[in-house]
Amino acid sequence: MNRLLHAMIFHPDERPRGWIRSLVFAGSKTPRKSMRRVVFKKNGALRPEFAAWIEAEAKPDAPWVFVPTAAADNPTHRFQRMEEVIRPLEKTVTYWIRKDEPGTLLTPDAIRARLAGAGAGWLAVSIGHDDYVNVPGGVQVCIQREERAVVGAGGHYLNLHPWQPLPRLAHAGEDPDPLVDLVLDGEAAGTARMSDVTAALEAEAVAGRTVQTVIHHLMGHGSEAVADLVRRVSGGKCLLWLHDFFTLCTSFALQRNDMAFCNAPSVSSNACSFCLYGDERSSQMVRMRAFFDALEVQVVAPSQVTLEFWKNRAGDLPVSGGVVQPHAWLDWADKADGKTATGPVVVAFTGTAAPHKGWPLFQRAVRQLKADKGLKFRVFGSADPKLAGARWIDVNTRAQAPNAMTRALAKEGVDLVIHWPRWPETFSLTTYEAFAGGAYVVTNAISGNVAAVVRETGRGVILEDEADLFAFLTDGRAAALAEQARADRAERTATTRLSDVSLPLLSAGGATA
Amino acid sequence: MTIHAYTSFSYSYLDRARVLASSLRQQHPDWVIWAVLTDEAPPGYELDWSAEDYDRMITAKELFGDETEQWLFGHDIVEACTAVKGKALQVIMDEPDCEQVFYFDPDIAVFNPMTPVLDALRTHSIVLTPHQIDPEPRADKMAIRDNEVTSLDYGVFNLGFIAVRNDAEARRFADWWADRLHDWCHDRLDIGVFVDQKWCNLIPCFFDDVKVLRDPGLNVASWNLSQRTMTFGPDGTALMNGEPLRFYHFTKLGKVGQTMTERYAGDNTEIYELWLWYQRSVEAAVDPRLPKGWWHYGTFDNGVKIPKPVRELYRDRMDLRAAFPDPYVTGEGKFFGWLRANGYAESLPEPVAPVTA
Repeated sequence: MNRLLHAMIFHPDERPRGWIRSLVFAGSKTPRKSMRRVVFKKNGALRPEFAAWIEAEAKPDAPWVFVPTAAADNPTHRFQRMEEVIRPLEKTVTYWIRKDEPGTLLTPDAIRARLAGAGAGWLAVSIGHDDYVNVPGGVQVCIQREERAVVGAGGHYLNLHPWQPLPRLAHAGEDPDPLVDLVLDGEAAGTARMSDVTAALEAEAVAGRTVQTVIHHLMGHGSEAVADLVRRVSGGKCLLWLHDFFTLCTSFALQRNDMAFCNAPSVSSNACSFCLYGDERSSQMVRMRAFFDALEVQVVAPSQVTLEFWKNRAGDLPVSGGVVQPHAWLDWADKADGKTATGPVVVAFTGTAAPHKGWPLFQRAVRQLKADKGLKFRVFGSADPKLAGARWIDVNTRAQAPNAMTRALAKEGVDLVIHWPRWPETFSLTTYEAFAGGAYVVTNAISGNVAAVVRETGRGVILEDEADLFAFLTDGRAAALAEQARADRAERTATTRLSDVSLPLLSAGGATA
Repeated sequence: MTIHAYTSFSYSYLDRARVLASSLRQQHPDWVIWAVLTDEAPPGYELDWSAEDYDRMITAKELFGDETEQWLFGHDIVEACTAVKGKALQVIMDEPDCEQVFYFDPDIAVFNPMTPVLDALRTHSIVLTPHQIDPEPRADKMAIRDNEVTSLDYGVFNLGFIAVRNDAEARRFADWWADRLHDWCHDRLDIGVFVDQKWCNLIPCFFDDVKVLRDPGLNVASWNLSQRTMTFGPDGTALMNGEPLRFYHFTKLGKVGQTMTERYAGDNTEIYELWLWYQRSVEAAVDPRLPKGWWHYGTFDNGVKIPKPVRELYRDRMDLRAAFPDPYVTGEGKFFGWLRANGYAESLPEPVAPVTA
């Protein structure tokens, strides 16, 4: 769009000028044909500047709120959009299928040779769902830390993740002996059949090497093959982390049709019947029961609230124990010469801009309130979500730079982090990062450990719903809470102490040592 | 004592009828479910009814005997599949141990037990569900026209569902209903008749012990979505205005149904989740062996589709019915030839190749 036209249509702060509404829109939300290219981008996406006019009355988290298109004046566009969003799981699987070949597979002898090359010492075998070295994410960072901790404690760390990633368990009909990629002490070590890995590790165990198994995620694996490995190399004992709720449902964040938190109801419930994960969940739960029946599984939760939720929903799944092992702790210290900040309340979103993390709500808040002089919005993450009215700060949190987010929040003087997940977060490192960065957290009641930590520390607020959040931001409560956060961070500072993940449970003898 | 349920359809609705039977079977495994089939199988096609969720199947021919073909010629497919409902109700009520009978349209799916209806039938003979149970706001003229005015036109109760207790009053109703549907089950809004539905405005006038159930979980459809909101309870139960969703009427699967649903569901995303589930369930229930749009009573024996004006002409003129007792048959001296010779040829499409499975 040329600059003159842009200046005629928009205020300097990017809000569309009121007079052009009747020029641009034929109906309340329907752009005139000649104005489509002003309102929509070439790819059909809505220009953020017009979002407030078109989306303001839409229901929170309705899928057409995120991706409105030029089809918005089509009377069945919601159906069309929903058909795209609620994609049959097996169709998604077809998109995930790799087109390449795995190359030469490792034999059991070759696997043993690689282990020998790494050196003697006990071995931690970790089961994960993807390449934790190269894929960013919270669970992946945990596994990186665990690897470093194990190696630092004189052990070796062998991670097995599916060569063919899948959004569900591997089906026996696809490959009865699935392929896994091996990562040994942080280095890619080749690809092998699961049965060959099991044979190699069994031989290592027979030869006297202590092999302990930690399951971080079963997605993409054949649960039977993993159970066979645990039985043959670790005496049937393993740790199983509750990073999410994949052991309860294929939808690991318990999102019915990827749209709303479902609370993990019975598989025979209406919700499961209508859900794209329902059929798979039915068969997955049969396989999970067989998995838990076959092994002595000690579940490890990053928070008490997660362990309680899981136990409640897992019903009579047999476990040999359940422990809470937080990923991090905060160490507080007094600040001698702290100054209290002034100016507009700085409100931030941190981490992945995903619907189940509350991104759409933050978008709506920014669009609605960006002209409010008492508020400033910031987005912290590794990718620019391009949200008009909220400045993006590039932060890439990896195991190598664990405090990057904390430093960035502190530098920007963030007062409030809106952390509004629509599922019970099992730990939420971002909440700890917010505290360490001097901010308070604004969340909802179903946010799991986020709400639990806010309640426990008093550093933040738990709000009823979206309407309450919008009221909170404008009725003076946000300003009051920000003042409290500013006073707090002027007097005290926190540093995040990260855990060694499974190491204390392995070396202490816990479930498998 | 046994509870019976039935639906009425032709082979072209087999996919929907399968979804209905399967969903009903899940909620009420002990009920006897009937298929009333106003159709004959295409040549070479055979359906193994023992593999279906239906316990019993009865055809229009079995219900109406020798008069079936001639009688059905005067009906289009909607009129025909509706016209058999009354007679079917009488036959089912004659079953030994029949305690109650439920009728569901084939484009309905059942999601939770029919408890409120079962409860009502303890004290009432006939249970009806209205199209709407809450008035539209005065300012919403479109909703008033789409929903309330349409109900005034087409009937206030939706006859996609009716339930009766097998007692004298319900039998009196069944006899009256069967009579009217035999003679007057036509889409004739010009004279105030709409198949079986408009007649049922008279039920509370003619019969005692009628219960009009105003439960928002019953017979949910686009015509009442303006006043109903779908949610899920914490245990995963689908709710309508906070009450369990018992059954949903997926009327007009396709663009028309989507447009009306979208108009009144708005941003109630759960409704779209439900519809999408239904669309996919119906797709999965399609029998690919069935020719598209098959209806045995839909064409002359030369494959020419019978136009509605021809059906109306035949049913209105006693002389034609007497002269051509088998109107589907073509050839010398038959009704088809008479139509061509008497100025009705323009309304007849060209013959098409014979359809086989």
